[in-house]
Amino acid sequence: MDIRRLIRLLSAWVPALALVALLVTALLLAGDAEQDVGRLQRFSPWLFAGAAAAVLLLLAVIARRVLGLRRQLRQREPGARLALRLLPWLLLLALPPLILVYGFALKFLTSSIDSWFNVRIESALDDALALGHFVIDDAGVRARQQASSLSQRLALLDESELDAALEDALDDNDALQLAVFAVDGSLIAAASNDPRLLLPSAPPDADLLAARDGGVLVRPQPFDDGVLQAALVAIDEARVLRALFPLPATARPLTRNIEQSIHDYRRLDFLRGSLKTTFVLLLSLVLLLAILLAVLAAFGLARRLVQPIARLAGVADDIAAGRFGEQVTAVSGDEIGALTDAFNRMSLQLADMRGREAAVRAASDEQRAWLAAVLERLTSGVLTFAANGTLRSANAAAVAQLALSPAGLVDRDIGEIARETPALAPLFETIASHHGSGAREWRDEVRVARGDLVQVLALRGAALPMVAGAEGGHVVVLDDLTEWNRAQREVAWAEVARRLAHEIKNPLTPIRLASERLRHKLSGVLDGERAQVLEKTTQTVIAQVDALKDLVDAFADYARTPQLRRDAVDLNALADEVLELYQQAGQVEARRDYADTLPRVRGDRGRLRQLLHNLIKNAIEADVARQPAPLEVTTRVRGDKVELAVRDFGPGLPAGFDAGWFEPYTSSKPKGTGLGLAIVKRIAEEHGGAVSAENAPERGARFTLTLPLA
Amino acid sequence: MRRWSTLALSLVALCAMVGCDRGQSSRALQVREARVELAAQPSLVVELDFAPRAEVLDALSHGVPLQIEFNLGGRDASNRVAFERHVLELSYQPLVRQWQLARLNNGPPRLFASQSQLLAAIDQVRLPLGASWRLLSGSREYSLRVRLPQSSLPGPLRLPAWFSRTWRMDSGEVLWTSAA
Repeated sequence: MDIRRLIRLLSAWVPALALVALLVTALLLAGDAEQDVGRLQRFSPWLFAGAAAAVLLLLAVIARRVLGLRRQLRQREPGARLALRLLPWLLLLALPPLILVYGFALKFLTSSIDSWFNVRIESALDDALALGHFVIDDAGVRARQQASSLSQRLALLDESELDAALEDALDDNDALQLAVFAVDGSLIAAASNDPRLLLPSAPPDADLLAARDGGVLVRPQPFDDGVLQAALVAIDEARVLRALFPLPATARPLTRNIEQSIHDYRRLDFLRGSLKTTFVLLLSLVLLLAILLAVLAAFGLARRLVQPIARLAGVADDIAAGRFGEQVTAVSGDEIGALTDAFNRMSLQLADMRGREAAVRAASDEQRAWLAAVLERLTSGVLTFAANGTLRSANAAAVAQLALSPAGLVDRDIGEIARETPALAPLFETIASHHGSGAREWRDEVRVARGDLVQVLALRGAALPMVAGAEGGHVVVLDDLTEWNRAQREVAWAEVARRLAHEIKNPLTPIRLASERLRHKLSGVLDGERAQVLEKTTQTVIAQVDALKDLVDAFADYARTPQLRRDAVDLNALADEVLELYQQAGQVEARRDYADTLPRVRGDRGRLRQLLHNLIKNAIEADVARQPAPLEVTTRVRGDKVELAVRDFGPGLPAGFDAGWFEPYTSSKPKGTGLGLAIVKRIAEEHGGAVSAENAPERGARFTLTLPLA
Repeated sequence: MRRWSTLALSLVALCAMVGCDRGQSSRALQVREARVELAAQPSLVVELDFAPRAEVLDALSHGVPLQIEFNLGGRDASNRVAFERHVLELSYQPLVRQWQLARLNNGPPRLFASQSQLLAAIDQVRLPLGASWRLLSGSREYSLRVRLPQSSLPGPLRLPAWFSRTWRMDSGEVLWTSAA
């Protein structure tokens, strides 16, 4: 058993043992106080020491409880303050009755003890004592007479005759014993009627001397349970007679009773104060015992009363901290037990509700996550606004479309957002106007400038349902129509090109043949000036027909939807192959800056060659003042893409160059078809790539083709 | 643990104080001289200074008997030991108006006409000793303690007497030696 457990065990039992010890001590002392024989007297020191130790022990236990309560108060343990409030009330209930009983018991005891004595009894006993004295004195007078008479007779006898004379004298008198002593105390002769007095004891020397000197000493003396009269008288100068006479037979029991009663009464009277003191001490001990018991009981009762409430408070704290389902053991069937049961039910219901709430929250979170995932994957932008017009959320598509920074805009008012993002002001002003109109659903289209690009956005707005009685706000769906519009234009251009190719190309050949035939038939018929006019005119027709044919071919080429024959293409080699043609023709002076290990791309070699032709032609036309035109071709690997850039050293991109320049029939050149860059863009997109243009750092423009790696 | 130790020490100190106080000799009863006479009839002769307080004498005159206990021990050079206990009882007989001095349950009492004669008789006491005392030989050591045993007091008086010096009459241990 460890020391802590032993201390706890002792703490639990020691107070009870101490109380029992005090109680036993009080009972023993109370019982012993009434006895003349002190049976426990030799144990008194131990009894008192034990009682003192028990009192100290109880005080220590109480002090420990007080300190424990103080500690609980400091640590704010549940129930401590309630216990502190209960303690004084419990003591107030217990102590007054104790003190009242103590006071009444003291009063009753002292009154009872005092009632044992009164003046009449004392007077009667004094009278009885005087009467007893009278009887004894009377007997003394007779004893004196008889002893004197006998001594005179004995004076005439020799010592040898004394024994017989004393025997005879016993018969003549009612003496119990007759004895003759020498003055030195030695016995000379004796006779006795009582076997208890067969051996006479010598009288005190002083009495013998007094008697020899002529006096007759008569002195009563106790004998057994009565009184004798002892008469001492001188026979002569050498001898002294002592005669013991009993009291009259009728007086003997009376005197005995009188003496006993007087003895007891006087002793009791003397002990009255001590008896009171004894009982006061014992009652005080019992009071102390009761007070200590009351204090301990108050602590125990307070703890017992508070314990279930403290447990309830503790579990309430657990519930407040979110630990639902904790149970309190009901230890009684009273109201506290009912309260405990109700609390346990409440705790279980809370736990159940918490579980349901968690399930609902999980489902809600799941739904929200699902919705968020859907929103994030929507290609349409979605903006939600609260009823007060603040931005609540923007999905990834909206952020991408509008190049927003949602972190700084969420929970901001739509007006503020419009002011802080001037480029998007038309969008947010439009949304704000519809929001303020109170329309449940609306549609609109806005154009916002995004750098060089004009973005066309289709808006669809709807009011959100009310949530918990409050307005739900609005949701706005954004669709970027820029690409859609461009695609639509491309389709239209392709249709135009196809129709042009069909409607224009067919008559061109007959026109050309007719012009050649006309020149052939008339060149020999007409004279010189007329022949020159004919030649010049037919040449012009044929040249314009050829130009028209080229234009129609370009349109047809743009309108064509080829079936790509993909294989691995080395862009460096392909670029060399195309550049070589132009270099041999003296049209370009190319500088190559190729990547050393350029991966191949998967593409249609023919279409990519056409793309390169268009870019090189574009570069040559950009710098017509110089023959051959200088240009630079660069290839690079950028992540999972390959770049091929063609740079010219001309005047650079025209002002206002934007994505629209890659659309058909857009050209800054006087003789351009307006289809070169459109075809480049179309071929790039056919290969999953893109084309972009920018001004070079010093001069010229750079067109960059980006293709995915094979 | 420290608190319990302090408490235990306090208890021990309290008991020691009470014990020491109660063990002290009293001026009301002192042995002036004591000797053992090993004649034909060995006896103890004690000269006492017996001066009880008025309350004690008052109790005596009101019928409370007082007992005086003599405890004698002896040991000789050969480590032979002997013990003897005598009790004298002082009492007052109201009917015969005499003061009585008696060896408890042993022999006839001595009667005195006054309390002063009774107290004077206590000044010098001769008590018979048993035959075993004659076995002691050579140099001898004696110890004597004379006291009023509180257990002999009437019940109501015992508890107050336990706390009162008035009733604390004890000569303490008196030692002396006797040459061969």
